[in-house]
Amino acid sequence: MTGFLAFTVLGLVTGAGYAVAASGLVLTYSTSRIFNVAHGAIGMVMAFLCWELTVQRGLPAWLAVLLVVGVAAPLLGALAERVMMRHLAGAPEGTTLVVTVGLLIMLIGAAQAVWPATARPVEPFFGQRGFRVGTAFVTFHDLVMVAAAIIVAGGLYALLTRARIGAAMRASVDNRDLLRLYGARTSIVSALSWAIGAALAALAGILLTPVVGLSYFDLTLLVISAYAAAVVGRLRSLPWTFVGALLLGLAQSYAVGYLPPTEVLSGLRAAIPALFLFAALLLSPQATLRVGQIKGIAGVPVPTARRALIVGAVVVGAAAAASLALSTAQNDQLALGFVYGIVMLSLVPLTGYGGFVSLTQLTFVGIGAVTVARLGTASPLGLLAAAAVAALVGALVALPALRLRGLYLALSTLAFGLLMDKLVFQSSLAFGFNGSLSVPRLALPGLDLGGERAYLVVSAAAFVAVGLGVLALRRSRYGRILLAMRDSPAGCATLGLNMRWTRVRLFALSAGIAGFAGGLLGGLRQTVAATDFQLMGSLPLLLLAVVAGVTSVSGAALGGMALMLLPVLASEFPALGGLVYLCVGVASVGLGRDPNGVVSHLFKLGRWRSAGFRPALDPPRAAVRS
Amino acid sequence: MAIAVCLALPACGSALTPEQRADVLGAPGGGGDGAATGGDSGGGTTAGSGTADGPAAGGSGPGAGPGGARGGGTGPVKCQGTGGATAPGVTANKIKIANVSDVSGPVQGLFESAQQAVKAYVGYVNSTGGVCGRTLELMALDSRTDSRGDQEATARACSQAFALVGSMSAYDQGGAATASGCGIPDLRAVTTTAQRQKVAVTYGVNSNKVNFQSTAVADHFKSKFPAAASKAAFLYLNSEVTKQNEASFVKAFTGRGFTFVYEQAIDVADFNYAPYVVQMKDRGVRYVQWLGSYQHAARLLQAMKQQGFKPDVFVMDPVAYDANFVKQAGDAAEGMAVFTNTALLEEGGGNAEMKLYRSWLARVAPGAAPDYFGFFAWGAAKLFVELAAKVGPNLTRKALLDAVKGVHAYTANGLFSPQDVGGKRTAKCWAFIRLKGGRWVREAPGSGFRCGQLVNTGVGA
Repeated sequence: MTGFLAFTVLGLVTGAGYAVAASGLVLTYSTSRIFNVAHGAIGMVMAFLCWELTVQRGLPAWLAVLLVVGVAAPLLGALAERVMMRHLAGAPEGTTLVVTVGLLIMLIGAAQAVWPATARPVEPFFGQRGFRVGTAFVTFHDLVMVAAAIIVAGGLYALLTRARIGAAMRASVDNRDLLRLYGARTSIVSALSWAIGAALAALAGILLTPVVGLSYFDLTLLVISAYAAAVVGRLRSLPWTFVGALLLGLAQSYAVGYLPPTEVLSGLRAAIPALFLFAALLLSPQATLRVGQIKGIAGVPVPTARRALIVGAVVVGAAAAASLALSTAQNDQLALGFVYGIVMLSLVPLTGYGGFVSLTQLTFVGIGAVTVARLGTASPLGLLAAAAVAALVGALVALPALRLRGLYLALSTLAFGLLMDKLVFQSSLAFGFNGSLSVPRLALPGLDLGGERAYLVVSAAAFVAVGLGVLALRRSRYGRILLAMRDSPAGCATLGLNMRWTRVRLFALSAGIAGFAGGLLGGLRQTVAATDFQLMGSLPLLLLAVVAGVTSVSGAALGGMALMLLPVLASEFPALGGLVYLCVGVASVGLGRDPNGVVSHLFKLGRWRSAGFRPALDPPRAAVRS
Repeated sequence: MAIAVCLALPACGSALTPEQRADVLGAPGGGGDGAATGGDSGGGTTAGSGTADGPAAGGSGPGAGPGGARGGGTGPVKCQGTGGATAPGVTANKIKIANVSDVSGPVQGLFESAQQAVKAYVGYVNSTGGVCGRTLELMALDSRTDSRGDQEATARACSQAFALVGSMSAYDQGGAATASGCGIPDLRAVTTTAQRQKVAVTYGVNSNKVNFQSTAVADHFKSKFPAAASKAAFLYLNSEVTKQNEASFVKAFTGRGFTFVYEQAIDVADFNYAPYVVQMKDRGVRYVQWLGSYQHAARLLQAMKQQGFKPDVFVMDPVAYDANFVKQAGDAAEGMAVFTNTALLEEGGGNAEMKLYRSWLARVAPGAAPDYFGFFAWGAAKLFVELAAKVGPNLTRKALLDAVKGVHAYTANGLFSPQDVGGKRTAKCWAFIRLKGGRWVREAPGSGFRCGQLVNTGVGA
């Protein structure tokens, strides 16, 4: 019984940590409808700042906390709202997610640039003093965390339901224009909600740092676990978020206490936040369709089949020519750019045409690589099997998530990715005990594809083939249905379109393309490991896909090359350190609002150039007439 | 083994405290070379840090036989004449070698110390006239803490360099197929993954292999803490590599009389370690061993301190032998034990090779500090030069690889315990240190290393 009491108390302390982390997330979402993926990263940067002020600048701890939570964090929040988020009101959830992913990467880059990696111990408030509850010892710092969780939940509940400004915050989400007509200054209301959200992130960061440690990633990971708690409260209810956080903390603590520490169950224990998130999403009520909403996005021009074929042939020809001129390593890099391009292509129908966000596309790439490795065949049939298995898994993911839309659907893909990381990829079914597998390189009868030059040409040809397929899909009836579904789900439902099965097929198609890319990637690397396909790697992938242009094949090519080049640049210019990622973050914040991405600007530039030259080449019509 | 743990990747690699630097520079006597007698009970034999039984003997400096003799290695290479362009990366007056280490990535400079150590040794050798009339040229490549980076850098090395020397990458499985395919000799500081260890042309100068465990470690702790051995716990950070190592350790320790009453993987995202501590308390655990990054070890130690749980001993591998760990864990780490297979920085004043490493490191990377991975990278560069000199003017990849196979007890002139580089088997000999008053002090043996027998656990073989 004393053991049970101890695990309960410690579970509540863990839950309080999640509650503090999740409350700011809920506040920001309920007052702006933007799910701030960067919430943990804001907390991390503010915790570093607090350390800087106390340890490096010698300020008293209370003053540093006051300055960070009361001044620096709110300013950062208000600035983020003013620069990045204000223009996102009413934008698709995919766009808002991508911009906050950009913010996350930018903040991690900034922290790495300002505070290089070294040991930075942070003492808990009140040191190690505390009291005993049964066999467990609770420090005063733990108590502060529990108290902060309760006060924050209560205070925010009161703010949003009792205070006039809180009502205005909620109203600004429901109908910004109407609120303005009532005389409210919506920009201030919105900035205030972000300022409070950032202050809460800072509070969470500062309170959790003595437990988690001051690191760039740990706090971010912790907040991802806290998403589960926020979803219990449907991202709006603070009391239910609080309950969800405590339940999550208790579940983790009891799992340590009462699940036998076998290898299989240790994976299950690690997967508890993901399982919790998945369950919370599936049990949440179905979102209703918003009637009367048609928000079309002007896409980029779709080339004719003939033009696409010519461009495709040119690309393959250029790759073949480049393969002769480049070194072995450069050939491999370019091939990787094309393979990443295929992964980006998998997002074109899903995100670009269908408007769905997958936060875990790299997981499907991993499934493809594992399939080819396990089959151990160099036959092209292996690649097809990789695509088929990934497509099947993609359909299975979409099935339970049929009821979900928008952000909830994106979060369900995140939960799926976490489950794959913790349970499947580490099992003997996938990468197994060694953690990595050898993958045979593709072989075709009569052709030697073992060399890097041949593989570059194969990768380019595969990219072109998949790209042509995606363009054909875009021109087909199914492609038009996808666009219609993206622009007006309610309209499609009214017309009797079966959106659920359309969506399952779309997820399967997207996962299949990613799986195909996984098979090619495995052949390129020849050794793949579970760590190559971790969930966190999917975030930069999505980010670059959208920044480059997720609605076009050209955008996918550009995104693939950018994803390949990013770590190379960071390595080639070590003085820049995290600044490369900082720049990508900044770029995504600027460009992420437009799903047509950088490529659409290049297209415009091309049209402008041709328009600019034509008058010089052709005599003006008026002149001809005269 | 030590290194496996860096896979959770918060930050391996170390930086010395100013006090440790002062010790290294100025401490009189201390450790040292030569055979030593065990100062403590526990069985096994004791190896001096300078002993070696490589295939060649005599001489000193870069031209000496593997293992070298004592004295820090000075003087020019002894062979004369060059055979011209005998192999890729080799010309009449130059040998191009490559080092592929994690420099950029999620943790900046993770294994940069390995690359700096190779740079330092190249500087030293060139200052003595090079190898058989050829100077060394180093291609310093970055594996970017990423398997893809390792593959790309290995591919570059394959086409341009004669050999890979002193490399250290967390995800070195990335370049396994590439190295195997092109046949480049790959004399690594440490081989991290089982996939890379299996490559025929890859040899780790730190010769640890997951399925081979020395009885010296288990026997030492059993003799020091006999009552604790029957109530042991093993906790580790949940990753593929640590899982293998944990299983191998537990099997080897169980065979030497340990009883593990609690084995637990802890996920990287888990932040409250108190429930694990309560479990250990409830099971009456008296011996705790941790495998994982030092940051997470510090978290566990702090949770143990907070919960008032004080086992007889808390044990870690050389990952903990790091100034940053001591700083991070604070007084929660007081009294903990570490087993290591390198000479101790605190005793460096009497180790000529360590002095040489330090002095050349200061020239090529001012401000950089020697560390565990740097020791082995320096040792790898030293072994390469010695073997290249032994092969002579007609230097080929095959000849070098044949020479490596004959190296079975390499110590880099006392920089680390004898390593079975050619046999790819874990070191038999280890030293044991404890943290007292925030400083590492030798516990056993009195000097050098204590040796045991190798047992094959069959895990990960």
